[in-house]
Amino acid sequence: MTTTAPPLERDLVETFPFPFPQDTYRYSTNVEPAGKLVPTPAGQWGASMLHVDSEYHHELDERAAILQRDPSRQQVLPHMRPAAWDAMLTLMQELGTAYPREFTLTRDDDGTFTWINRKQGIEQRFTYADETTLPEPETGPLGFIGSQVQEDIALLDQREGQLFVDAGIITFAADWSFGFDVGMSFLEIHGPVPRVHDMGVIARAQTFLMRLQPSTPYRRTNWTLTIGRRLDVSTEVYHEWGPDRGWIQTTDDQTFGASVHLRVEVQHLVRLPDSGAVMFLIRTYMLPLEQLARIEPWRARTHAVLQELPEDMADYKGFISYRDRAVAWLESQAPSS
Amino acid sequence: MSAPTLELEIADITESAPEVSTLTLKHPEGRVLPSFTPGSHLVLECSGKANAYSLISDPVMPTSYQISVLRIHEGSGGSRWLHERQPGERLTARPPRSAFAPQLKARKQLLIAGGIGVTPIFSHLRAAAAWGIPVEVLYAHRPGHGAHCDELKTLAPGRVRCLDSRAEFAAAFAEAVIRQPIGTHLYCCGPEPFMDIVVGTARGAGWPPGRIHTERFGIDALDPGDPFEVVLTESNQKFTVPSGISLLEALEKKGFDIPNLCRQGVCGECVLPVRTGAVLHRDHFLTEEEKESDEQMMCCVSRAREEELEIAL
Amino acid sequence: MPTLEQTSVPAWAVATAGMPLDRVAARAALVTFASDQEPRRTWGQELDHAGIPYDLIDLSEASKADIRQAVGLLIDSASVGFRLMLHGPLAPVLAARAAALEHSLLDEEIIVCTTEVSEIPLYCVHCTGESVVRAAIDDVVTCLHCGTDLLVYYHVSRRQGSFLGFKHDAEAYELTGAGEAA
Repeated sequence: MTTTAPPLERDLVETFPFPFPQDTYRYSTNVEPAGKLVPTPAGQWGASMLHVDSEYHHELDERAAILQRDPSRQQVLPHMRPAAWDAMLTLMQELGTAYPREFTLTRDDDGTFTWINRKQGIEQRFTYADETTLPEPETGPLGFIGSQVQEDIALLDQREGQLFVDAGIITFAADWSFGFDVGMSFLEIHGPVPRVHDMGVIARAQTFLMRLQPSTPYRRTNWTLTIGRRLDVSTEVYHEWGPDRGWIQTTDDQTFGASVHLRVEVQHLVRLPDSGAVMFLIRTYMLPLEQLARIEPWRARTHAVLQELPEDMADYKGFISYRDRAVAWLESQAPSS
Repeated sequence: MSAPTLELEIADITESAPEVSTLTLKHPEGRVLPSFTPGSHLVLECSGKANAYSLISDPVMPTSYQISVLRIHEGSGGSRWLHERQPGERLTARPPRSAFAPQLKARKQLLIAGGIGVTPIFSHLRAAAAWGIPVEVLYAHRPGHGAHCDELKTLAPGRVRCLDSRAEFAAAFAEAVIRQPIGTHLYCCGPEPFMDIVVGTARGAGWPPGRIHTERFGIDALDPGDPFEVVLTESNQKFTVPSGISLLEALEKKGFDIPNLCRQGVCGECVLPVRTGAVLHRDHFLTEEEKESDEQMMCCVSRAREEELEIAL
Repeated sequence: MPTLEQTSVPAWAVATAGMPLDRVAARAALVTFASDQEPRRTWGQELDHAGIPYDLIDLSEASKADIRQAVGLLIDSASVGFRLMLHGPLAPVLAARAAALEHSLLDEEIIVCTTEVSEIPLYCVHCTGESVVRAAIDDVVTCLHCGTDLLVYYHVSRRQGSFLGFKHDAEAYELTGAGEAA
């Protein structure tokens, strides 16, 4: 059977954060200041920390459905309550600044806040640090804001000379389990990633994060390949999406190009000003190879990166079994000279 | 890395204790100021110098910042200059920086202040009260010089002791340090010798380092240090840094333009690459591993451990 | 697999090992899950020698829930200066460590000595059940709750107190002989 991808909204191509600055890829502490606009052959991305696009309602519906099935994707360890409030207020301010027509946060004279989200028809008056002033007190400020931004959110506590992932709402994890990892240190969570330890990448990243100041957020990108437009490729449901990695090798070329997606995470690293916690925002973008190949510089660059990528990295990223096929497919799409 | 500066207008000045002025600073157009972590400081440009002062006001989307400034007679002049300001005048500040944050996991906070070191402690107490965290405050000050005592007591009724004799403080702390429920974190800010005693006493009572947090910052000057030789390998120069003069000052006198901000070993701006030589690290910016490697130094406070340092400059 | 020092797997979880006691401690609790091994011989003597008062608590018969509760109560009545010393097989030690961290102890206040690491607590990421099984990293064992064959991964949650297990052959795909297991 041949699968064709449904047509993508144009903005998903135009704002796709193509992650490869060169023809080879290795792990590095690839951080840069947030908010810098990056032009691409298809458009541009990166103007703001939070990005609202044409998938807004679809992705938030999907997040709600995932949380309904598996509440462990959202957790706030008790000591992270101030960080959750801090995150909510920071994200609301950020949305209001980036999209003032859709989102507004105002502080009223009595110290309460009014939050308006016109995309979802929300108008909520709340008091900072008072859960009972939110629509669903039990899911708290993180649950409230998590249902209004497309980004996954992790909150890190800085203590004992380290960072600990002690809260978050992570529904679109790429091959890890937030429910299992919550409470781990930054170094522990990255334990399974090959190469990075010997290179000191994770330790350096942690030192960097521990020195972040609220006034200067940073960002980085990460990437992998995903089969289908599946946002939730968490370890919890590995048995559901794992077989796709076998299936994809049996498909015809057209189905392959429509199904395999370059999956890019834009991660923002933010020191929350009030609690002092570090906020990781993880936004996932997916572009089918079929679409990507229509932008020749992207096709050529992706081909070069995938072809050169060392085995252990392709293995960890989960596409070792169809990497050669992806390389061949991208090669076959080269413009005929 | 440098963040943009903030222009602030002095809205009010009051005397909180003899020689201590409390300044209220606002955005000139009344806008909301950046939130900050309790224990943060604001670096103010004071007539050509940059001085850091702990913020004592409400941290969440505030419409004003408050700092309390002790007039230091023998200091570099920044505090004297601030004491001469009038309401309506403007100041230039860097956004708040956090280097003495409360531990979110603390089940209780034991807050210890000495003298003007009460300012970050005030900020911690405010946060603890706002989030309902149990707290106990011991504040040692000279008789008649206790700043903000009444405000502290209002924030945590029955949990604050202001002590104006050394013996009284020592007895109170010795008693308090051995009966804190596990999960308590200790925060201390005050003159260096005061903090050394507090930390030593707590360690002696079995407190692990991870429960002890100090703000060694902006209280009194570091000791003048021994003179040392500096060899600049790139510009091929050699000179002596005398006692009482920092390497940063010595380089500035030679015409070097070294980026710098706090001049107190906190901001990290004035880092220099070290070729050879053992560094007497006195900053609070580099990590322990970085200090051990002796590959870089903060030239505003750090000096040579032995006679000579080679700097790649 | 990277060397385990760079992962969430503590050294004492893959080979029996003991950490040295902290001589500046004001007080300690020596919790043993292996009464027959007589922890007094080792740590007990050292504590006596260092003049650190301690309580000896035997939880060798306790269930995981009971361990978590007992350790929590022990910590909640302690003062700063206290160290928790855990002695015994891996599974109860990990459970006790998880409770201690939840009750706000720091890593440096928890001192561990494992006497046995051949049985490990394994968390099934698919059904969230925990099985205590005789296994090592990279083995495949059956989840006692949902029956899935799980790969024992080199990842230990300090909060769950267990190793991560996930379906070992999830990528197998059978279709007219074209499937393969990655």
